Amino acid sequence: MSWCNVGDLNRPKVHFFIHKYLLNQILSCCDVVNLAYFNSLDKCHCKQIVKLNKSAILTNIKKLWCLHKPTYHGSSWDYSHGSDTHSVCLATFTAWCNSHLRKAGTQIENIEEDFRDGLKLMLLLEVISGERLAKPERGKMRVHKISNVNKALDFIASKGVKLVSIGAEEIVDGNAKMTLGMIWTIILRFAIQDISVEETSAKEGLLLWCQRKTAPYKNVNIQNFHISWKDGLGFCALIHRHRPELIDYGKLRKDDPMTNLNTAFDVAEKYLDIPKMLDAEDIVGTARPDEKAIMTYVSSFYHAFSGAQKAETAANRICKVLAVNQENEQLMEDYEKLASDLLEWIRRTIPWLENRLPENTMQAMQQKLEDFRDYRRLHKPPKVQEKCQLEINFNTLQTKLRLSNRPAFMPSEGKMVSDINNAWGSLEGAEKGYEEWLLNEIRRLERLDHLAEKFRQKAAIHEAWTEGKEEMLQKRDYETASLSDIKALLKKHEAFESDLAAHQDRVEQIAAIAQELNELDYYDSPSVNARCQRICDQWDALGALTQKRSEALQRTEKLLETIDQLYLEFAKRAAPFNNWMEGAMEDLQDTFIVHTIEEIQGLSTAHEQFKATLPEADKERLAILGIHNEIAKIVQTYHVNMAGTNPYTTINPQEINAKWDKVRQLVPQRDQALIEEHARQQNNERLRRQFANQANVIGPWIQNKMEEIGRISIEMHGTLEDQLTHLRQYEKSIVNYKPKIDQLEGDHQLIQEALIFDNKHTNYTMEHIRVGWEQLLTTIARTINEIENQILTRDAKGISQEQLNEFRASFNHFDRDHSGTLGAEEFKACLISLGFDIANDAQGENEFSRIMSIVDPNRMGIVTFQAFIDFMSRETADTDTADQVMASFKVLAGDKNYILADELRRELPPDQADYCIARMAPYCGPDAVPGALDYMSFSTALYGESDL
Amino acid sequence: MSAYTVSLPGPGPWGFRLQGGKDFNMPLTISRITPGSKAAQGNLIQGDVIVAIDGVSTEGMTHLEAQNKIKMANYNLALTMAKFISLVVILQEIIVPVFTPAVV
Repeated sequence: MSWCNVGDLNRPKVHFFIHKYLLNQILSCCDVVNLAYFNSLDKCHCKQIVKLNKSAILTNIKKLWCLHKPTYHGSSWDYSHGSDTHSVCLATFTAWCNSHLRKAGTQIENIEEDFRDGLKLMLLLEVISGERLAKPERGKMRVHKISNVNKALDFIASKGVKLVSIGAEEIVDGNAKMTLGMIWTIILRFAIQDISVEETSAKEGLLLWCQRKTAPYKNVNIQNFHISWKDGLGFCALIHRHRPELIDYGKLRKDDPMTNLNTAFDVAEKYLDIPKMLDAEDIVGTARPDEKAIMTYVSSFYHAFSGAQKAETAANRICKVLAVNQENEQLMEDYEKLASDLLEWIRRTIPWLENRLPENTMQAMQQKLEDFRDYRRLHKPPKVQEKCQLEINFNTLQTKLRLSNRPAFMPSEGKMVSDINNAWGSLEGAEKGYEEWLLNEIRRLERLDHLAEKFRQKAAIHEAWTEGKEEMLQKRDYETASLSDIKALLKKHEAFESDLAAHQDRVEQIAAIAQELNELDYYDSPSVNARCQRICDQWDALGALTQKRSEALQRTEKLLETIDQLYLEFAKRAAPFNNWMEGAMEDLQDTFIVHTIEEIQGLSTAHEQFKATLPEADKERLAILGIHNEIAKIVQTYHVNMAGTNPYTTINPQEINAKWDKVRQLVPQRDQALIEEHARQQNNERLRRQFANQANVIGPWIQNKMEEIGRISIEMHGTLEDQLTHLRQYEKSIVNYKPKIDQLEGDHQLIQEALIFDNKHTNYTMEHIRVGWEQLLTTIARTINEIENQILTRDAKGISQEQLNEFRASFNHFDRDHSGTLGAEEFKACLISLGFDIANDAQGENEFSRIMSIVDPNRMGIVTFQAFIDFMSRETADTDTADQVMASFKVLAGDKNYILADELRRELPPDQADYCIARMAPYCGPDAVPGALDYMSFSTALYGESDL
Repeated sequence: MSAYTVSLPGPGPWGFRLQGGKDFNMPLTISRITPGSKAAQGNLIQGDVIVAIDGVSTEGMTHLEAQNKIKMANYNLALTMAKFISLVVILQEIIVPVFTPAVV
């Protein structure tokens, strides 16, 4: 930056330049708090501050300018200083020069020698001033050196420094005094003169700066540029004031100047980029340090610390001015932006409002209306506000510019307020009538939608109704239908026809609606028309099909009725005929069981009669088959698919024929069977007669014999022995009769094999004969046995023949059925007749029971004559036979209770004696002797008794 | 047939005569009772049938088996007796009505 170029501060352009060039630097160093404060202020406050700061900045810049005007007060080198001072100055100046030259990448060793050619001098000036000097001469000649030194001196002179008595020749010649004087002049002009605090001289300014900066440090008192700095605390305080982190000031002591000075110089060299210009010893070791050297050193500190700060202060003030401009520029930009946006929005919106192409659907139109409503409610109002704000902003900006003496704002082309107003006008124009158009269009669409919906609904209903109707009408169901089905189908079809007629109205309505839709220019007219056409075509087709079906149904009905009539006739005649055939078959196959010739002859006669009816039946059969053939012919001729069979009967011609064949087959079979049966019956009759002839002889013979035997046993002629002889003869004659029985058995076997169960020629069956024969045999055997037993009984019991006869007479008397046995009651009566007193009370009953248990031990309920005689002989003779035997033995034993073997052998025949000895148990009584036998127990045992 | 039990104190002789048995085709019957004997005192009735001896059924028993069985009883003799109710009575009831029509 060069303050020299800061020209007329009143010109805004320059102002702007400063801003652009410095803003970043200033801002980076600027007091952050200050900026923040500045930014946080509202606009109202801001204006005041801007006002104040603007003038303050201008004032300060003016001041700065004045201060930096090249004013030179003392340019002559003070030679009054001693050589010490001179060498100190030499080192300080060299260091100062090097601190600047190193920025250009060079150094000097000897200040008196190294500036002689003028090149490094020019370089130094360029670094210090930041400006370019005239191009140096490259030659090594003296004239070149003088020229270059002069250029440097001219530049210094151009900065308002009067270089009194310093000529180029002296510098080129290496005049030390001249050279140092020139350097001091440069230092004063460029390092110290810049330091100005409240319009004091450069030196005073530097001093005042030092005093103000060190004021807070009580042990530092700067009054000059020599002894005040001897203790080094001044340098340390200056550093600590600005960079407190570099020096621990509290630890420093006033009485240790060496440490203080070295600390300050080292820190400055290391952190502040200030080269070491003085040695601590140089300061401490002298009573009064060199003023110029100290000033040069301190000025370096000043530049290090204060340079930026000053720029800050200035920049802060400038900044405020710039902020106004910035704000205005922002306002201008905002205006431009807002205007552009608004215009863009208008530009976009107008075509949308001008678009009056109608939408096809209600929904789309309503969406449009919705959009328009959104536009009016949501989108346009903020734009209205924006437009208003734009005008306000424009006016505000212009006022501000006028007040701050700035040129008026001129918006870019086409973004004038008037432009915006024009555009807005167009927008309103486009908007006008849009809503009305929308509503009209919606109304139209509504009507169309309504009509179209009506059309669709009616069409849908109609289509749903017609759905499958064609198929139904084309159905050939009547071909397989029965008559009743056909009648039902006809009724159904009639119903359908009336249904169809009823639908005429709907079809007409559909056509009318389609027409209206066409007239109203419905967007989807083509599809409506196509659908309408389809419906109409289908309607015509349905009509034609209906007619066709009606005819077909009627024709079929007529055919089926004829067939039905035939079926009925068939059924009417087939049923009885079938029944007749079944009956005939049944009769023909009827297994007859006949037992007589008469019966078989009757069957033959009936069969002959039946055969006579066959030709008539065959005629009937053919007639029935004729009916069936007629039906078949009709079916074939008219192609009636008679799926159903004859509904009136299950009988079919095949069945009739099969049965007829069967009947015809059965007739000769029957003939044969009848002939066979006739022969069999004749044979049977012969067998019957054969059997009967014999049986009729044998039966009476057996009966006769039985009676004779009965008579013999009952009549009791002669003695029992006579009877026995007589019976034995009888038995012999009976046994001799056996072959006749065997022959009869043979005949009977034949009869049984011929399955003859009856025989009218005789009342005797084989079983009768057999029973009779067996009875005869058993009777004769039993009778013989009875007689024998009676003989035994009579002999054993000593019953007389008279007594026996008496018993017999009594027995026979009560044996009323001549069975040869007596029942209990008969027996009782018999006993009573023989004098037994059996009272009709409990005791009598008891007595009779006892008797019955004896005569009928097996409880058969009957009493045989033998048992009767046994009982009577027991009852009438000695009642206790065992006792009798015992008494007899007692007699033999000589009244002893036992008997000896010798006694038995002596008294009885040898075998009977042995029998007794073998069976008699030894006698165990108290009076027993060896060999004693118990005849008592033996006696009782003989009768099945024992005394216990 | 009503049954009753007679217990005769032993030992024998018991004083009754046994008759019948399977081998005689006749039920085991008390055929005689000796007057004043244990059997007479024990209410044994002549003509009644012995059903069981000392609890053993007499069915299928021969005369000798029954005799031995009674002889074996040294102490008490327990006889289960059946009152001889004539089968005739039963037969009358059953058979007579059948015969009756024949009689008439």
